[in-house]
Amino acid sequence: MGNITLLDILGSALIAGFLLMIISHSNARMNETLFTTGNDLVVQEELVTLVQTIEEDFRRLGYCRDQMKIADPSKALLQAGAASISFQTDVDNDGNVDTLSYYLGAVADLAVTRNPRDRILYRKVNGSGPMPMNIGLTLFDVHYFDVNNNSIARPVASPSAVHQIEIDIRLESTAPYDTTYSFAAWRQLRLRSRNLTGR
Amino acid sequence: MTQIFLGIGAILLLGIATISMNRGFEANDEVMRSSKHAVIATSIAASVIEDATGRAFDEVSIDSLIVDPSGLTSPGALGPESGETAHTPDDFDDYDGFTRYDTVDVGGALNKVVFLTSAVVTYVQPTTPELTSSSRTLFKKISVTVTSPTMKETVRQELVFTYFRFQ
Repeated sequence: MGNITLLDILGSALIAGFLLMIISHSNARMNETLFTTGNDLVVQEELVTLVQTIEEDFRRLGYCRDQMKIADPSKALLQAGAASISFQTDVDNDGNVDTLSYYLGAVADLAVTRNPRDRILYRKVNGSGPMPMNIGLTLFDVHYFDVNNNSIARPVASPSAVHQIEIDIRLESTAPYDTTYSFAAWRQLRLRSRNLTGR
Repeated sequence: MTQIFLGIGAILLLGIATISMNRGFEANDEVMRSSKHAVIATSIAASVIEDATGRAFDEVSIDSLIVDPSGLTSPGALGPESGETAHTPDDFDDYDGFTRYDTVDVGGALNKVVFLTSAVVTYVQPTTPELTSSSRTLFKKISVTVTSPTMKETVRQELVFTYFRFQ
């Protein structure tokens, strides 16, 4: 009788251990899935929003509703750097020429997040204050190509030679699961502004 | 002894429930990964189309004005001309037969993912752009397909390119 009771207790303890282990593992897995899925969703939404804005702006490079105000679109690109670009456009389609700039902020600007690599992409129209575009951006790399599709060294000394622009963008989650920033999104854009090439 | 059997039964039931839950997580992961890769595939397809639309409409329109479609490249000869490849295009239909592998760093456990991009260019009629035209027209359609072993679906983008020229 005593032996059977002891066996029961030991068996119960073993089973309870297994149960706890299974529940603990399931709980950890559920937490990981919830966290990473949420991060993935945020990163993808941020990426789509950012790309839409960039595409819309860059398509209008050299465009002005009053076309006589940018008579020579080849001069619309004002500054062309690796992580910054500035050009003439008509942001609000009112017939007045605007100067639109994109540039990447310093890592210290986004020290509030746990990701040590993310930065803010700023969008600046004319003399107004820079507008932060997003969080979680870890790469904003702009490449320039001439009419023969040859890459031009950056910063571009002669922006009028630019015929095509390629942009690499990478977004990461602002916080890791454990220590891994596993949810990075990347997108390459190759834009030919109709106004820039139509000269 | 009965209690032990009951306990083992309970573990089995919990195990079955856990396996089912894990399958759900795996399916969720796969969908998220696939959708993330589909975004990249979409951007690759858009980049190829963007590149193509920056070219001349046809080999003969590079240096001269088209007034009659009969002078265009024949439907059977679309693709790179002699001495050209799909990677050195000078006109829109040179992208016919284009294939390219892109290895993209997507982060996460998979890290590097390979995407295969291919393109087909055909003539189309403006009233039936979904059908290939057997005759020359002033409308060409590019269909870009991007696949990857890590994507459940194939990403396909199409664009009809029209000849125009400012005088």
